[in-house]
Amino acid sequence: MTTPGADFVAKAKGNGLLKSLINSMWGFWLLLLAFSLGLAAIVYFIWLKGNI
Amino acid sequence: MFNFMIAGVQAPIFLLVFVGFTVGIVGGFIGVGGGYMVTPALIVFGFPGYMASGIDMTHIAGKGLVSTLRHRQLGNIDWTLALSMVAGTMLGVELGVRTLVYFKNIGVAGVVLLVTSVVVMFSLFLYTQIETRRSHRQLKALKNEGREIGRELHTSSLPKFFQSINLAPIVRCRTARVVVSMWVIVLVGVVTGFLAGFLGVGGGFIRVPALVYLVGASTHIAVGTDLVEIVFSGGYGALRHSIEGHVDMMAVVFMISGALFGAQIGSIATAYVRGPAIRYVLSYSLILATFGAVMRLLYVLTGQKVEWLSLVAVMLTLGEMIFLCLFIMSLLYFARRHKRGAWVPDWVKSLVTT
Repeated sequence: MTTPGADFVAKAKGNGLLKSLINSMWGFWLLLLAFSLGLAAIVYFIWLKGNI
Repeated sequence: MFNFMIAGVQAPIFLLVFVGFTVGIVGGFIGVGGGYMVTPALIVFGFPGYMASGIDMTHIAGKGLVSTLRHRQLGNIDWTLALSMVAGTMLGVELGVRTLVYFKNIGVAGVVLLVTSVVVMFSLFLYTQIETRRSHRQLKALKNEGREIGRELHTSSLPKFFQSINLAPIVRCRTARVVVSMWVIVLVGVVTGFLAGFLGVGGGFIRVPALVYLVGASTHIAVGTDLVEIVFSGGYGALRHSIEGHVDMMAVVFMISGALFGAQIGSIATAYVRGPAIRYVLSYSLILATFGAVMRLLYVLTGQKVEWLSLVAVMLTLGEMIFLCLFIMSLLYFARRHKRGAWVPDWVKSLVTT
């Protein structure tokens, strides 16, 4: 099972900013939240826009 | 797209399975039914409000049962505590529903409901977040000193006060390792039941912090014990909604097929983390739900004319489910890495078990 954490950790080795974001709880929180809201936006615009 | 004949709605099957799966993970992990996330999501998918409540309740009953069985295996249920609380919860729900009917009759139910949800959820978020950060700091300090740390640590002084109330009968909850007056448990049941009945939700997000901060149970026990309450309340709600014809069984089947896996993952994940990790996820869930409710409140107060407020509320509803699910999966992933001795962020080390 893959999680976004796996991608972040792999990339963090060569990326200082990403690693510092993951190393801080708030940074990780914001990163995941931004990713989740982006995914929610994609779901909304592809499948739900006409339903509301 | 699948045609749900009873609800008269067309919706993508995978979205229902996905919602069931994500809310299953969250529910199994923090011990909530997830009605405050599922009902708005189903409305967004096009289901009428009454049908969304019925489908939600029926799926919660099934999912709650799976999570309860798994938490029973993990030893996270205190049956004395759960059964002592049921009567108080039922009384509280009845009082809550009657209060709601009163506000409905004077025509202010919508606004009062939204304002109460915002105040209750934000207050719970604030207390849980402040206390959990304090506990997290203590855990980190203990870890740095190289001391042995257990599965639970909470710093609230409220349980000491409630446990010191010497009013017979006194109940010994063996699994929770709590000795407390029966009246305290009943009172907690009445108050949390009242809020649940008034807000029209299962009440897990109120009961779990109440069990931790008022009764003094550990977070794991609070989660497992609350799920027992959810099976009772969800089962009763499912029966009532089915009799009223508010349930589209096809939608329930799709959601439960996702929830069965999600609920198991969420429940098992609790075995890999310490109490503060669960309370962090609970507080994140509360703050995101509060923002969603604020957006809906603003939308209602502006005469339902400002469309983007509704859009933001929808995004938050879907985004919250995805975020909580990913956060729990990440904790599980980091916990497994930590066990193997691989690199994990510093803040994770004291939150996961070794």
